[in-house]
Amino acid sequence: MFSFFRKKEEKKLTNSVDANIKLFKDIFTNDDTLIVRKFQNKYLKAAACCVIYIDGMVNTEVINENIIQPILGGNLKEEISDGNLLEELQYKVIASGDVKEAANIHDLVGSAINGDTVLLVEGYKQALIVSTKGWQTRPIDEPLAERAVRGPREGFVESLIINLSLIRRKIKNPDLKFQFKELGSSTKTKICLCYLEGVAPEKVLQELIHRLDKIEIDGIMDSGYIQELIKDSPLSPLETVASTERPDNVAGKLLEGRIAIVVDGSPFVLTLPFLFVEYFHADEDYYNDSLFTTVSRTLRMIGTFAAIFLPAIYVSLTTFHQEMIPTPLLLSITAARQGTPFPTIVEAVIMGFLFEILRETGTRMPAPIGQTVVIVGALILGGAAIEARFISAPMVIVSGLTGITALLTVKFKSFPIILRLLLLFLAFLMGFYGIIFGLIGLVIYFMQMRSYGVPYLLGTTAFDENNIKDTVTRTPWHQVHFHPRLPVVENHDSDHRK
Amino acid sequence: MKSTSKILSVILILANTLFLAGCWNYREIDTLRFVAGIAIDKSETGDQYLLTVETVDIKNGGESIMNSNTITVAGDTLLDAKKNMDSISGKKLYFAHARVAVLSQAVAKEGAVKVIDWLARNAELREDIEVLVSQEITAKEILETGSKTDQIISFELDKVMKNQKTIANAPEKELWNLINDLGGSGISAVLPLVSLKKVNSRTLPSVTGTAVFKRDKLVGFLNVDDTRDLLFIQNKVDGGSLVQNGEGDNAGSKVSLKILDNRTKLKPVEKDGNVEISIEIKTTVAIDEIEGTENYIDEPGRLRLEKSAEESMKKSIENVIQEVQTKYNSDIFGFGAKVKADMPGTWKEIETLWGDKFKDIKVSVHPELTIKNSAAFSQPLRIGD
Repeated sequence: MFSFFRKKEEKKLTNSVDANIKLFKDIFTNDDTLIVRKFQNKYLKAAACCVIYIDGMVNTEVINENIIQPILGGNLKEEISDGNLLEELQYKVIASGDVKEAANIHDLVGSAINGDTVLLVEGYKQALIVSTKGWQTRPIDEPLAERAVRGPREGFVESLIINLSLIRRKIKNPDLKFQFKELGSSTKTKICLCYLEGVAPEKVLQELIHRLDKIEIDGIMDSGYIQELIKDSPLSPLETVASTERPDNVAGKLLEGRIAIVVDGSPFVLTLPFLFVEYFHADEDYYNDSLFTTVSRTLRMIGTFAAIFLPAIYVSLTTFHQEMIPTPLLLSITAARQGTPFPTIVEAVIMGFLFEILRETGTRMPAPIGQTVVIVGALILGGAAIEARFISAPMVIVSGLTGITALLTVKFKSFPIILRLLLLFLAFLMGFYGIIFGLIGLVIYFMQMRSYGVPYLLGTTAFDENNIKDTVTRTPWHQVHFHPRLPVVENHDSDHRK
Repeated sequence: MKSTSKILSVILILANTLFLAGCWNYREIDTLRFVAGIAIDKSETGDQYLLTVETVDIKNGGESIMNSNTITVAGDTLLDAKKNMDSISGKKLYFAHARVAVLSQAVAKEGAVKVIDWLARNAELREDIEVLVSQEITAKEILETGSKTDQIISFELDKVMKNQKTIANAPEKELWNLINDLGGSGISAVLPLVSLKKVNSRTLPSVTGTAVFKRDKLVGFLNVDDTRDLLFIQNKVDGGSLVQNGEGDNAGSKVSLKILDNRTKLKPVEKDGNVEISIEIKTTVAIDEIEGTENYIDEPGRLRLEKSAEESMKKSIENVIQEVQTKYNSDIFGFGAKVKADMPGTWKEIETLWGDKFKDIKVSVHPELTIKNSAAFSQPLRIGD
C-alpha cells in the first residue's frame, strides 16, 4: 500500500468494471479488508455497478440503504433518461450528501482508504466517490491530564472533525477560520489550523505555515510530533508551543490571538505562541475568582522555584555557607549528618535520581500497582535509608520537598530536572556564587528566547498595563473587555485592541 | 515608571547581597566543630594568652545529643592560640556561630583593644557577638560550667543578654557596639559582668553588674542597683522593677513597682560658661506587690508613693553619677557625646579637656514617675479581726 503512494502511478480506469476491479485488487494485494460487491438494477440491465470499500472504515448502513438499495431496487428504466448514466445516478439515485466524480485511480484509492466508497459503473471511465466514512470513536470525555474542579468537563477526542466542532461551538464567529493541511508522506495525517482572522497576528500565521511546509516526515502519530517539529529552539528543555486537551482552553487562546493546530488522531491540540508565564496558568484560573487565582499562581511560581533551587541551596548552605544557617538548625543538620557516608552532593544526586525513578515508575504503572510503588519507594526506602544512616534526614526532606513542588506545575517536563542538576553542580563547585552564575545565565537565556517572534518572558519583565493583565495575577473580568491580546512586537497596527 | 524601576533595582541589589554573603571554601558540615563561646585569659606568666572555646559536641545516634566541651590553649597572640588549637581538635573549629566572648579581668585591665581587635577582624566571628567581663579570677571557668550542667553555657548566656532589656541587670554590649563606644568621643565603654553563683546545688553563671572602662582599660565595677541607674540615664530601661521602702508607720513593708515604660532625655545646658547636664526621666510603673495594708492605690497614697519613689530614684542616680565622677572619672553615661550632638560649638572648645572636666560637671536629675495601675487588684489586701 505504501509503495503505491510512493510510486504515484497515474493509472486510469477503463470501461470495464471487471478490469477496474482487478486494478483495485492488484493495488490491495494481501489486504482482505477490501470489500468488492457487484450488483445490477433489475429493470435497467446497463446499470451494472460495483461498490468498493474498506471494511471497518465505513458506515455499512449508508452503503446498503443509500447506494446499493436505490440502484438495485429502483425502477431506473423509468427514472433515468438516456443521457449519462453516471451523472443520472449521482443526481437522482444516490442518497448521500457528498458525492464526487473521479477518474484518477490514485484519488479513488485514497478515498477508499479514508473510508469513502468507490462506485464503479459498467461502461464508464469515471467512478463516483460517495462519502460513507464511519468508524468507532471514543465518546467525549473529561480530560484525564487536565482535570478541573470548576469549568467544562468535555475534552478533545481522537477525531479531527469532532474536535473542530468542539472549538466551533465555543466561538460562533465567522472570523474563526479552519485551514486544512496534510502532513506525513505515509500517514497522510490531516491537520487543521484554527485562528481568529483579524485577531491572530498575520506574521505568526505566516511563520507557522512556513514551518509546517518545511516538515519532512513519513508519519505523524500525535500532535507531539508537530509540537517538536515547529518549536523555536528544538534542543531547549522549554516549550514554545503549548498543548491542551481542553476546548475551553483553546477557545480562550484563540481569543487572545493565538493559533491552534488540531491534529487528526490526537486529543491534544497545539496552541502557539507559548510564553513562559503560561506554564503557571491553569484553565480553572479563569473560572475562579481573581484573588484566588493570584494566590494559586504565586504558589505555583514559588513551587517551581523551590523545585529547581532547593537542592542547590541546601548543598551551598551545608558545604559553603554554614554561617548563614540559624544556629539551632545548623546543630540539628550536623547531628543528622553525623556518621553518614556520602558527601552532601552525592546524597543530593542519589536522592534526586531516586525520586525521578519513583516518578517514572508511578507514571507507567497501572493504577492499582502504582500505589504499591509509592509506598515501597517513598516510605520503606526513605525510612530505611535514614535509619541505616545511608542518607541524612534533611536531605530526604529536601528532595521530597523538591519532588512535591515540581508536581505543582505538571506542564514542565525536562526543564526542572535539567536545571536542578545544573544548579546542583554549580552549587557544589562554588556555593551561592555558583547559583548566582547559573541564575544570571538562565536570565540571559530566557531573554533571548522567542516564541514565534514574541519575547518569551513577555509580561514578566516589563510592566505594560496590557501585558500584565494575565500573568502572575489575573485582572478581574469586569476590568477586561477583551481577552488580553498577544503583542507581537512589529504587529501592533493590525492588532485591534481598544 | 521610573520610581518602579528604581525600587526594583534596589530590591535586586538587596536580594543579591543575601546570596553573595558568605565564605567560599568547600567543607562538609559534619567536618566542623562549632564554637559556641570564647573566653580569653592571660597565662600565669602574663606573656601569653589563654584562649578557651566552648564547643558543641554532637553525638552520633538515633537522637541527637549535644554536649558542651571546652578546650584551652595558650598562644603568643590569639591567632597563634587558635592555630595551636586546630592541631588538637580533630575537626576544624568554626567560629561563625559563637555567641559570647568572655574577657578576664586581667585582660580587661591590660586593655580590651588588644583582644577586641582580633575578635572584630576575624572573618568568621560575627560583629553581634556578646562581650562580657568575668568577675571571677579567670574567664574560662564561666564556660567550663557548661560541661557540668548539660547546657551549652554560651547559648544560655546569649539568651540572658538578650533578655537584659526587660531585666535591666547589666548593660548589653554587642561587639560592634563596644567598638563604637571605645572609639567614640565623649563616651566610655561599659561591659556586663558575669560571675558564678551557686543556685541550689549547681554553679551557674549569672550576669549582674557593670564593668566600667576608662579608655579601653577596666577601672572598676558597678553593682546591680547602680547598673540600673546607669541604664536609666542611658535610656536603656524597658522593664525591670523598683523597690520602694514604706515610710513612717509602714517603714518595714516594701512596695515593688514594675517598670512598664521609661524615657530618659539628657539636656546639656550652658550656665555661666560651664556645661551642666539635666536628666529628665519619665517612668511609667505599675504597683506589683504591696507588703502590708497601707493603701497606695487611692490618690493621696499613690501621690505619696510616686513622690517618695521619685526622691529615692533621684538620690540613687545622683549617687551613682557622683561615684563614677570621683572614683573612676570615666564618662560612661555619654554626657560628652550628648554635648557633642547638641552643642557642637561648645564641644569643640572643651573636647580636649573633657577627661578632666567630666568629674566636675554638674548634673541635675528630674525623675517623673507615674503609677499607671495596680496590676490585677485594685485594693490592698485587708486583714480582718
